[in-house]
Amino acid sequence: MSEELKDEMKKLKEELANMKEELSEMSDRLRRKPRGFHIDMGGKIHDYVGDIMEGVAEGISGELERSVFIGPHGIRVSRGRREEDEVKTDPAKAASAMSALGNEHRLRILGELVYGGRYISELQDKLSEITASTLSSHLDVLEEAGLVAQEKVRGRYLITIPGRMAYKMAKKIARLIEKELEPE
Amino acid sequence: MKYTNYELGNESLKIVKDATLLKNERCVVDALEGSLALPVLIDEKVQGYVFHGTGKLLVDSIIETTKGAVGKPTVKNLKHPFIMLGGAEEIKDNLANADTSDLQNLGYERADAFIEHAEELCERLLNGKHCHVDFNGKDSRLFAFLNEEGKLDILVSKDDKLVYKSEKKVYLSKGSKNVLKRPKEIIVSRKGKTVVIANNDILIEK
Repeated sequence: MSEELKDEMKKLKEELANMKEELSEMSDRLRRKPRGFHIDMGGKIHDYVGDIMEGVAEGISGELERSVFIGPHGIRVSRGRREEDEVKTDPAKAASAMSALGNEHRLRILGELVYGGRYISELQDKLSEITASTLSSHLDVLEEAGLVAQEKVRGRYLITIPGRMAYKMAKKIARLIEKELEPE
Repeated sequence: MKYTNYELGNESLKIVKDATLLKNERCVVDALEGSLALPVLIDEKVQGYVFHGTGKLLVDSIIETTKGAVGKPTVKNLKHPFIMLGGAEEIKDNLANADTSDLQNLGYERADAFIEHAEELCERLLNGKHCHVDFNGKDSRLFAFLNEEGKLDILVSKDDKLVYKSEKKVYLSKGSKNVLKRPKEIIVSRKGKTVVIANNDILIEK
């Protein structure tokens, strides 16, 4: 394993340890603060926080010896071929996801959301060619397909990981087709 | 019934006007008109209530990463009893004494039945431990919701900190730091960096 990777892993481990400490302090304060928000719940919340952060830190240490891929956007530590690669995708489900993508307006909406969460009014301003009711129904379709998630308290719409992947894929296919159809 | 330093009120109340028990950037808890309420006294002061009736819980348990949003918002109808500690003063105008018919509407044939139910719930949450509550912050609350499986879901909110724990997920948020634990997956996000552990893989995004 390269020294650079070891250093990177060490830094990340330190950062996770700091997060763990901060979150533990946060829950400790909830439990102990005499003039604040204190209720002794048998350390339940403290334990949850501890378990989560412990799991993250231990996971990283344990994975160091496994396959490591360093890309431009980050690091992937992989134990082997993932289970999902071996599972056949149901064509009906795939068609449903593709169907949600198969609309110019919905692709425009995804194109706006890749820059960050947006309120419906912001989307309306950016996509003024789409009427309010149509925009709302397109968002419903995207949400149903799992490409977009809506915050229920703030109301913002967020693009999900599958949504971002689907948008990228649609753009890539369009570019490839365009290239293929160019006259020679 | 006195435990260590807290006790429950003797008279059942009801919500006469829909009450928002907690509202901040990430969560909302509402209790609706007709729900029953029983005061929880700590050090002889009303510090919270046990509610039973109808209500709604919303938690934006979603983490934004550079690759896209992870998680789903939590939306629950509160049909089962739940405890709220903190914010008692803010809803006292929404409450009035409950009568027998109010209790019967929620399936309590005896006046004491709701109190006994509330006692049981408090005992489960507080587990007979000594408890000190001093909620100064406007949004400082602790909720324990009885879920469909008969277990307690916990929501703690104070300033910009939020902890929500249910059977299937744990969500922690403090400013720009977020943690979401779901079955087989943990996502940690902090200042634009994300660590995802899933399917035996770890993905660290810069």
